[in-house]
Amino acid sequence: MNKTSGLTVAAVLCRRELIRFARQPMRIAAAIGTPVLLWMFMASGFARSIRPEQLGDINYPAFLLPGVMTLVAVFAAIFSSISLIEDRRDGWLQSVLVSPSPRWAIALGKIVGGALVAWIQAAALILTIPLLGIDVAFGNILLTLFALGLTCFAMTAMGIAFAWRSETTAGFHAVMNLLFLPMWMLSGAFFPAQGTAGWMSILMQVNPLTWCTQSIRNPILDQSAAFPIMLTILFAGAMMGVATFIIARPNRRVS
Amino acid sequence: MPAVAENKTQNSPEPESQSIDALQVENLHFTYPPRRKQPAHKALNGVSLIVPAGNAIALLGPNGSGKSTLMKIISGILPPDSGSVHAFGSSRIDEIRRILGVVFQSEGLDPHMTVRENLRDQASLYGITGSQCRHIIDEELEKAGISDRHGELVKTLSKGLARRVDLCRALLHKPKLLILDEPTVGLDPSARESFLETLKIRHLEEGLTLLMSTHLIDEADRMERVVFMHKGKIVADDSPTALRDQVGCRRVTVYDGSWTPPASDAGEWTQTGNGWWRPLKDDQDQASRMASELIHTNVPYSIAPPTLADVFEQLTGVRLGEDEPGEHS
Repeated sequence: MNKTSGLTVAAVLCRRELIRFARQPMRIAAAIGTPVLLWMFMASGFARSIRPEQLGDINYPAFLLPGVMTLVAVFAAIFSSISLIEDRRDGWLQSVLVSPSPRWAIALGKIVGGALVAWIQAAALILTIPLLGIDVAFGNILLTLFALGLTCFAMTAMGIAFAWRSETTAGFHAVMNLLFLPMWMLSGAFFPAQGTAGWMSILMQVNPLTWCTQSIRNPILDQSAAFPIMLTILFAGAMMGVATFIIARPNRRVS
Repeated sequence: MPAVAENKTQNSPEPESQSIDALQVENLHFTYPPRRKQPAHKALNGVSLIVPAGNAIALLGPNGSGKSTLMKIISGILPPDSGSVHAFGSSRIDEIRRILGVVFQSEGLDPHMTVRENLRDQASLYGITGSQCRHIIDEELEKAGISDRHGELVKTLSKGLARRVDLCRALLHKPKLLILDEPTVGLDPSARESFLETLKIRHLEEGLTLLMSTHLIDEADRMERVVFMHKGKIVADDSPTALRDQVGCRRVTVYDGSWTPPASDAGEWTQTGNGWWRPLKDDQDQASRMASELIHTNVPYSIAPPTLADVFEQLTGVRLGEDEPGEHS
């Protein structure tokens, strides 16, 4: 009897996510096009509303770039989570759950696959750096890409943790609207925390997506990213733990 | 298609072990928790079932009778409140999953991937990779008669073809026991026949043990044993012939609710939603007498051998085709 390796299962599920992504051109267009459009509109629309001293040495479009990368991660997490609900509706998920694959491997495969898809889309935005008139060292670009990977992993894990018990995409949209988008709005993605109201400043500081955005932005600004990256690693680990726990627990409701 | 039981030939392999049952389900209880406006629903109420190795058994009951819940507990998707499941002597869920193949109502396939990609990924979940995987996939596709469709995206296949690919998926790891949860739902008659024929061949030639839930009488009638489920309980468990014998050799049905049975044998008649019925003994005179009496009353009637639906109705008071309340899909 063949032994099922958890890592092989995770790799297979991860590969499936990449194949599905490549075969859905509209999904690629929407995932890249929406943030790029948002970036263009917000960069040109809000540039004069933000005081230059709040931004430091860079212009607003450059400040906004890491925030848009975070937004891509959030959008991709939402897509991955919705695809999980569709997997259950189509019956594919049941065929995985009746196999002897360890549940942690199923969680890891879905999360890494979804995160990789998100990372590919968000990382493509790095190519726009030369257009922004900023000079970023190669090492810092690598650090940004690493932080972006952690962010994608954390957000996908969070999305899958919520989607696992959702029976309809409509139910999950409620979660998305109530949690994911406010998290992004309060992450310092499109406005700096300095000068905000006290309550908002506190919310922004405790928002894990703020740590993620900082860990992506700081290397671009040539600032130390060690602390936000550490917090992002903790956030990603915690989300992976929560997702695995939820997936491994028997669900008495799900059909 | 003749019954599976009648087609067993001398070439059929004997079950691997006659002494070990393929499946032993003991005293299963399961209640769905309350959700939104639905109260808690007891789906299984002390279900016990033994499936000997090499048998083909149908679980027959209306929607909501607990068939799908039982299938989900056997396949390890739902944990029972109490009771136990043993497959080939093992109660360890990881071992059970290795010897169990499962076909659900909806295909467990990814519509955005090709037939081969789907089967390759499924094989990997059972630790089957590389050349062994390619060989097994080729073999399964050949047996299903769909070798030439291996490169097509599943979303482009007809429902019947997708169902055959799904059967390949469930059999890739060579399970000893195949459970099927209403596998022919949504298939057209020709695709349904083709699917059942493939299933029959696998059962007869390879000794594959089958446990198939259905609410279709003719599907259940083809199996060696039929288990009736009603309100989360097993109400009968026997061969189709033995079950039919319970309601006599023939059955008179009157399709007119306003008709009243004669006082002389009123006790023999049972009223249904839209008429009356009564069993007849193996007596041609009695059948002729009954026919002539009914002709005079001018009501529509039939005298025919009983079906499994008749037996089910006699045992439960419910006609198959009527859903039971509190159904959880």
